[in-house]
Amino acid sequence: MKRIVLALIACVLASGCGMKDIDKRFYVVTTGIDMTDNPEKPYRISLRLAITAARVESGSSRTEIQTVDAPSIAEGVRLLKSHVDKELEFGHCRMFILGKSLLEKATPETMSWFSRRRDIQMISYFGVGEPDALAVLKVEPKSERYPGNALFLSFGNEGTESPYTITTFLFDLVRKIKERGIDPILPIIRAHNRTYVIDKSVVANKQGQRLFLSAEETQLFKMTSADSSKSELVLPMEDGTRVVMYVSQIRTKVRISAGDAPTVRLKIKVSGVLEESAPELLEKDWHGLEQRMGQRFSKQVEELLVKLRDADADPYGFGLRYLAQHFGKDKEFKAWEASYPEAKFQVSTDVRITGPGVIR
Amino acid sequence: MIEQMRAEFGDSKDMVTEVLDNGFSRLELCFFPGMCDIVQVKDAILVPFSYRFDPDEFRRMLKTGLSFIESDEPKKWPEMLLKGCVLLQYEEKVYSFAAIRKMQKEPGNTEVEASLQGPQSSFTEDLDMNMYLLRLRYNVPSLTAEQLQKGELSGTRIMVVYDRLKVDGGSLDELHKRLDKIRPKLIQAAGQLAMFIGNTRFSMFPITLQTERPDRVAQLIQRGKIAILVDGSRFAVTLPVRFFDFMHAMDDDYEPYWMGRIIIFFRYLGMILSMTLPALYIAACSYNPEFFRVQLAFSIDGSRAAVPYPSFVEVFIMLFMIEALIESSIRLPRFVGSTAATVGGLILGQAAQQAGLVSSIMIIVTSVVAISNFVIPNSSFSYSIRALKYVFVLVATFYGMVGIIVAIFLIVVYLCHLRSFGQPYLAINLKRDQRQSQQSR
Repeated sequence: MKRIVLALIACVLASGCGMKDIDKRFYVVTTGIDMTDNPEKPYRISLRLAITAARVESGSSRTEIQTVDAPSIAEGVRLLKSHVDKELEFGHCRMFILGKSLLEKATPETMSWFSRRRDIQMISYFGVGEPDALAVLKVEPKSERYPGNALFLSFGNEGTESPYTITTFLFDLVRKIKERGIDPILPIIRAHNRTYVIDKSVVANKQGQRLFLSAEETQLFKMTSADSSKSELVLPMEDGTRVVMYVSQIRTKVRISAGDAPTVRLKIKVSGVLEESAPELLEKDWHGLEQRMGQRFSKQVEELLVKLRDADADPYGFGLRYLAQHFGKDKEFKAWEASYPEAKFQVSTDVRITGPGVIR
Repeated sequence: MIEQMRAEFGDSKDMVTEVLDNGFSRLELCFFPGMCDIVQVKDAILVPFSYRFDPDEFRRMLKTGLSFIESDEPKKWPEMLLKGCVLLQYEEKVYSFAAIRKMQKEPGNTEVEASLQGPQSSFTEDLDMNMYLLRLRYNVPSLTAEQLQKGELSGTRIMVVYDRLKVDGGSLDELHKRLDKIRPKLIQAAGQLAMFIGNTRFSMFPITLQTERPDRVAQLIQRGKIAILVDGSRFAVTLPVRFFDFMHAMDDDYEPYWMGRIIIFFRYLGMILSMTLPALYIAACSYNPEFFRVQLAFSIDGSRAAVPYPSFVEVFIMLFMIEALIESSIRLPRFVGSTAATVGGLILGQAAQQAGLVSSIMIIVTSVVAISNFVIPNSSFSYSIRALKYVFVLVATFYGMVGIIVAIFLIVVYLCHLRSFGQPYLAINLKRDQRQSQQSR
């Protein structure tokens, strides 16, 4: 008996103060960070807070937005705690939106707040808000069941699997900001009526320049860098019709041959089903169609690669791959950096159309 | 003899003492009619003595009859009478005649360890019937039985049964040592004896297995275990046992292999859930809400909004209710039992949540805990798990998720340390271990 009492007392004395019931916490579902013009308080922190309900219906999600200007992100969040009645909890905040203005001015050190906080999960998604983060936060999608769920579902493969949506996780972003030879790429989220449009992206290189990619370029990048299927291959015909192939499988192999001017070879294998084409097109020239589609795709990819090279951006991580093939010392990286602007690209695409998608 | 016995039993009125005289000779008779089979007494003593009397034949019968034993030690007479023997004095010699009344004429039905397709017969409260059931299933000459008598007041007959070719000598010695040491006053049930020999006061888990199924005992004996049968109890105590024996239902051996494995897997899952789920609820609700998926977190958050108390109070309220419900449905007479279940189910299912006393998720947690506790095939083991649940709840209240993980680790350590009559409790494959240890010797 004495022992049990002693153990109980020890438990009470040694227990921490981390206990806070779930209903005494305010869940942040989306965090947005913008730049203000005020040099005293350059950061505008906006939090989208979930108001939970026991019963869940479509479109029933209710949220509250709190905004504050602060000299730093950490201070801003502390300040925001005094605006709300419950403890702020970032454990379920899986979406962080950086304003376009912030992206242009911010330093890598800005990111360290996210990776340092204990309750921010490293698998949270990052995106760029257009025109600014607050505008994106203010969108309340009609179909949203849970607060903030619409954005969570847009990324990853949980909900929609769009070939235009780039998914960047916090751990990946932090790694790419620090790593030599690879640059982070972030999706651009635009508020459009009551929904989000996420089809463009932006590459941030180490020199602080930003390169914006259009929707088509984003799709090309996602197909070739992440082997993302469920995308499409298009070939406009001479008579104005378009042949559209559904890509069910895509594999990309990258090889870098060293030399004075390094050559990057991309070997892409695509297979899929025709989703839209003129009748009897395949029977006429199956192999020729495949070749033409491949050539067009190679050309598009090559143009994208050249554009990235000219902007001195490397979201594919060619530099990292080059270092992996060499000794990975500073000298090699300097050599790569010097030769990357002259790098040549050779893209060859092997398209295989498995069928017209219907049985005659 | 009659006077001596009358004096010994204080002239107890339920003892019959009679002097029979058939004209040729006298027979003194002394027995408890309540403990004897009166038909046997009539057929074996009264009929030969009265209308078919032949002095030579009667004497011969007394000398050679299987159930007639000459006993010339007056000290043993009371004991024999108490066991249900008839004492008779004929021609200055005292004989005892075993006409013990048997309450049980046929094997019982399995009640605690029901089986779908396995044998439906179970042990009875009669030791001889139990021995018959066991010999029937384990029919070899090497099956050894040792009879003992324990209990100063109850004088309960105890049978220690094992296969002498397969039994583990160390465990048997240990058992003998412990049986010699104990001096209980009354032994009413096998579980009581198990407690006496298994120093369960300091053990969180049972180290002997009680079963009412003869087929299980036979299977355990075949694996070299020892069974203890207690007169007056329909349970056999088997030892030494492992952790995994408690999670084994006899149906596992009677059903197709893979189906059985899947069921066993679910049983272990049920055990872990019933042990840790309330604790996990506390830890996840109060310490680590990021543990849930976002949807679940929000709905728990929403449903807890009306709950006035912190999560651990909520858990204690519900656990108390469910324990009270289980306990009452065991103790209540069968006619009232269903009422308790209905009332309790209503309270637990709806009212408590609508009153805002507990969250709706907590109701699911409670029912999962209660149901999955019944999945454990052995009742004393399920008691252990039921009790351990509170250790986890307590630890989770103070330390959250980290506490639960540490507690699980400590329990595994404790199980590794535990021994059942010299055998490791958490041994995965005892046979292989034994073989290896024999080879190394």
